[in-house]
Amino acid sequence: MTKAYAGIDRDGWRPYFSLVLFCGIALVLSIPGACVVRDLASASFLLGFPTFFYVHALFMGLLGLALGTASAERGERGGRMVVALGQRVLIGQLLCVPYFVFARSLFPGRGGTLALIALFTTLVALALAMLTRLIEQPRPLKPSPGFLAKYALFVAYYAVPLVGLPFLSPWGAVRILLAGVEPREALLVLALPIALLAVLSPLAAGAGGEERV
Amino acid sequence: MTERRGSGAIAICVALTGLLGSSWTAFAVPTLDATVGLAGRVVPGQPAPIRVTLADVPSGATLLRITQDVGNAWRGETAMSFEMRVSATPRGDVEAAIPIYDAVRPLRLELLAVDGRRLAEKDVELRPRRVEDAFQVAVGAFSVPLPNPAASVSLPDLPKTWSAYAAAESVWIGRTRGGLDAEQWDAMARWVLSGGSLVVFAGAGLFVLDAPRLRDLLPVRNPTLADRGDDAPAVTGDLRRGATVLASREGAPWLVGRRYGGGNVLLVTTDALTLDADELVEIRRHVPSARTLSLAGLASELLDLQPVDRPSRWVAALLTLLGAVALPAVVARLGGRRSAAPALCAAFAILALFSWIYTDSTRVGSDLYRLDAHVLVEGALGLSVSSCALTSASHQPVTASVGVDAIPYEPLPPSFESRARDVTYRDGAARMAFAPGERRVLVTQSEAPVRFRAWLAGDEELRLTNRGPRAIENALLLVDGEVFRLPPLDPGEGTVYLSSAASNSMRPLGPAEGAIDRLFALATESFALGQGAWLVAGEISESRGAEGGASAHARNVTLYVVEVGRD
Repeated sequence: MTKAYAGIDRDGWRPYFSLVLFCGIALVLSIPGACVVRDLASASFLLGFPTFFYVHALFMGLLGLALGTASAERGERGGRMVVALGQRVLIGQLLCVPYFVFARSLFPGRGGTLALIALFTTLVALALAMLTRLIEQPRPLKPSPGFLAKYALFVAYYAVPLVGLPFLSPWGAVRILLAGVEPREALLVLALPIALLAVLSPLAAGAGGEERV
Repeated sequence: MTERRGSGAIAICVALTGLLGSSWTAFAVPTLDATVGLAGRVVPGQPAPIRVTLADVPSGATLLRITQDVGNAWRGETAMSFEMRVSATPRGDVEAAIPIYDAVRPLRLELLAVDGRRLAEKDVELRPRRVEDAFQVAVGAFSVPLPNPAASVSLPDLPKTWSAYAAAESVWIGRTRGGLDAEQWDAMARWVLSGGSLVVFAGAGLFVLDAPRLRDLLPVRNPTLADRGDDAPAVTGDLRRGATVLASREGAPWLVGRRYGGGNVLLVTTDALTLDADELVEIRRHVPSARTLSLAGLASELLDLQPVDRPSRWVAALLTLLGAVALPAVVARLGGRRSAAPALCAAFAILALFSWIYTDSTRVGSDLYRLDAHVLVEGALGLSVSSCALTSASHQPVTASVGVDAIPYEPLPPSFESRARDVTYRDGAARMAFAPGERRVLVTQSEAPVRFRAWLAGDEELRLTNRGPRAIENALLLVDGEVFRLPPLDPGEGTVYLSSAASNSMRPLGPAEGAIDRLFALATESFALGQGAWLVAGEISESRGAEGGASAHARNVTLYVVEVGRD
């Protein structure tokens, strides 16, 4: 049985592994293959494309979904659940710190932007964890009825705004942050996950379920 | 009493008039007038002289902006603007050489106040001044008019900037009423050094022109006027080494030529007013067209070879592997315990430290890659022909202030996106925007201080002065086609004893990458380095820094082409 409120355990490490593995692969792909300037023009479409940050935003979201589901399965609730989810999301972010340090060399002079992206993806992951905790009910060992709903919402959150309001999508927001923004624009980008968190956290903390210790 | 009152009134009137007169400039409307082009002509793609005359400039006026709108709706439209500081004097001239683009639209001149307010403006039409090719320039009087498309320039209108002669095929100086000033002679000498052709008619008019720089240019030393018994006294003197008598009259040299740097100086020993049409044709046969060294294509090619700063993919893959191993390993050992999270944090902190150490400044990518190619031609004077090729490696639009040594010219592609090619030059920096992956090339021509002096004493001794701050590793001495490899040229004065083992091979001069050698090959072609004595030295330097908001990795390839004096 999985222990509630634990930081990371043998049953819950796989989402972290996916995050580490796929972000690492994305980092490798983000590095231009060009050895000399001539090759910059003829390199692949991934050249100079910030693949790492988009993949990181995606897998932080998926980590949020997985953590919310795990929290529901463990029957975590209340403020303690919110704190535990926050800790787990932070652990995920800490596992990506070596990549962020490495990615600094690909985006020189944009340390502040990278920190903003890290903050943004942390908020997104936490908001999605809360949302999933609300949708998923603690029914261990059975398929959750909220499975489809949470992934549908996830896809809607990431993909649909790209059509008209890109800053509402985490991918769009990452692109905007990488383009370099004024503090006011950065706040606008961060506003949605903060608002989601502010609304969802009390609801998730009060969600039903049998608390296990 | 009445007289006293009258004289008092007059004194008051005089004082008031004086006061009003002195303060008049404060209320006067500033005006500007401009002359553009060499002999009023401009050749698209070449620099042209511009002289702006300012009047009634208030003390607040600081900036003169010259703007050219280039292109059209089909090709793309862009604006090239050059800004120059104006000293706050009530009246004065501003002179410069500005690149002329397509010369279809008028040149817009604006006098701006400190706060950006426009104080005066004027449009100068370029279309009537446009000619397609370089032309002969005649200064002074000739007995026979030079054939078209020759253009006549008065002495005061001769430019004081060497690059302003770019539209000249050759400059002919006939009988003048006065001389050129020192700045005009220096500009002329630099233009010849860079590849220009100068024809000077001597005779009785030579001593009106006489100046130290002219004596340095002439193919004869100690010129004196010799009366040949007719009405046409001729100049004689000691032929300089390398000077050639191209034509004679009555057994005396009549047309004498010599190389001066990359160019040529021809002396006609008789007066321009004694010239007949046949003689003019004969002289023209001996006058080579001015050559222009352009490094734009080479700079772009060398930029292609510049290494890209980036971390290794293999190291990123190793980092991923270590992370992917460390995570399950820690979880397998400590999963579920309170110590699992701190252990993971510690393991990944070590990986982060490894990342930090690995991604040092040499592996940090740049928004811009820049290659500066310079050929510094040095004789008694120095000049620089440069080209700066830049490419954006950023996936975002980048705006940069690119340091350049003169007002730059950018060769434009046949079509471009409107407004994307705007250049604003001010105080030695050209502000320009780059789309992701975009490449732009700037070309400049400027004066340069003389760094090297070289003197060949006898056959085996080279006396050298390097006024630069550091030694130059790659250097050759070329003497009439023979090549001597030189030891590093250390700062200060020194003597090099030439090895008897001369080689006929020009290469290699620089390191294996070949950047210096390619510059050398271009200079060899342009300056005919196989003739005469030349010191050729090259160096490459790298720098990383900010170009006005964008990070840039710059490589600087410089070739010094120094005319060597000989006993």
